[in-house]
Amino acid sequence: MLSVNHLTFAYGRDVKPVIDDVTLDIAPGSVYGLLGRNGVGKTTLLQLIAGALTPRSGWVDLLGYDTRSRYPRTMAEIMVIPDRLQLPAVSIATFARVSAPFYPRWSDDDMARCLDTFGLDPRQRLDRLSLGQQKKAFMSFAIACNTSLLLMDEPTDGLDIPSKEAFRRIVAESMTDERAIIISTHQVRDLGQMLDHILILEPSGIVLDASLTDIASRLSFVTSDSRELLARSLYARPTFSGFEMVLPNTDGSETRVELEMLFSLAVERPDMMRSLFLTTPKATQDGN
Amino acid sequence: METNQLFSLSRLWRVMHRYMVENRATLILGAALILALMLIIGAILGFQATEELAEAQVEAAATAYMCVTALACIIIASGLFATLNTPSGAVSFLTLPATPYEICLSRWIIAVPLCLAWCFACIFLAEAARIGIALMVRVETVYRVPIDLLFAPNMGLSIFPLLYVKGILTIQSFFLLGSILWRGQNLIKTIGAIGAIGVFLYLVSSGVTIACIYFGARIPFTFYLAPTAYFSGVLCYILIIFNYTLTLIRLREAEVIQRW
Repeated sequence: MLSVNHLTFAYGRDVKPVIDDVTLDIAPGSVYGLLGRNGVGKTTLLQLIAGALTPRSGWVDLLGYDTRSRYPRTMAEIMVIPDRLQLPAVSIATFARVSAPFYPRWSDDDMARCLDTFGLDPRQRLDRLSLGQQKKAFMSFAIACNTSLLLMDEPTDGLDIPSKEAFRRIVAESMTDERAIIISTHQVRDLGQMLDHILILEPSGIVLDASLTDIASRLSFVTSDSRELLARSLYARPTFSGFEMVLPNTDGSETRVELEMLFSLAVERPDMMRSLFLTTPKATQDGN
Repeated sequence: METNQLFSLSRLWRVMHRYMVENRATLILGAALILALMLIIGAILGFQATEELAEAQVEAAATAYMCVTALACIIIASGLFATLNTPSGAVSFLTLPATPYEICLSRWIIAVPLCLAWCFACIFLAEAARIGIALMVRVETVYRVPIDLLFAPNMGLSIFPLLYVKGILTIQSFFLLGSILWRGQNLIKTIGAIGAIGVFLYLVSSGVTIACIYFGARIPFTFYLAPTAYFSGVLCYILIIFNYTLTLIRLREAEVIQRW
């Protein structure tokens, strides 16, 4: 559905690229988590995917069109939820009424359902809402647009605990086989459960592009005080009850993927991560 | 969905409708402010009306109305792309499912023809107030500002008779470009840039004129009126088109949001 092809981008002519030769394929029906350290270029990558920035080289293809050309039909398939919002001084209903006609698959029902889940009244004025409420209102609008691609930049920033839960529920309910969602976030504890696929971006490029199933089939996440396991671990950090460790999955048993540990491993040992995941899938290697 | 990916009237209307609804408070306030300023000018001049100053008052009224019109057009043009001054505003602008032409044209319609039309409507109302008040304070002779004089044919090569409108459009086009060119304080920066261009042209004209006198050559006609001569006639239209084109090109470039 979406392919990012050898994308390179820099904020200026003679400066080091923020995004350097990034290639990705985004399939519909999945929620992608885009993780990376501060300033690594996650927001820039989302803006490039949305066609809001001009790459130095490479291109982004959405449903057969380069998003940079910003054709209305392509833009009608993309919705971006920025980390900081600037919404007009109108009611939620008015905002939806004047913006919805741009999106061919707009759904009033979805909008009403999302607002209801978030506990918002469509008559409320956007400029009188708190930052978190504005974000919830805009998220409701974004989901109701039913675009093929939904890009979210730090969507849970500024949301209270019940709203984060509501957000997860809404995203899960709104997922279809025709839609892909990319969420750029640092809040892996909040969103970890809803992600299907992990992308980890480092200054050197994408160091991990794998589904959670694939990750679980290759890596084990265990907590133990065993010195033998510690010696074999790819990454470990001390806890009160021993060590949290990431180990190569040798016995085929799947453990729950700990995104924080995975991220730390990717940041500390990017080359190892690349070699581990950018090879033939494990199942094929094993001949299963 | 429209199949035309370059321009669609229905999309243009949707963009314009959205802009007007989202900015209705600002637009209504702006329109009310213009009307209030015009009415205040009309009222003050009406109260100050005397038999002796009847003709001078007409000139003063016309000048004041035109100054307000020019000021309103310039301020509106400067704030036209204000939303681009924030990353989220720029992203929402650039990801709006409409072409840059449609987005630009929709805002141009509001800032140029609609603003001018409203200003002239306000002038009519202010004139009615001025004349009404003057008659009320028992001045027997009151002249009306001949609104049609505001559209007096230009001198020289101009083929467009709306002299004043043309002048406003030319100046406004610079501010329209300035609004997309500079991130903040674009009004002041554009005034500075126009001033700098004016000084440069004046120096060039003076230099050429002095050189002509020194070498005994005939001074070209345009240099007698320098630098205003540059902005009369066909050059005005070229400048307007040039500025509008640059604004569009700048809008098309996503680099407008790369400044953060």
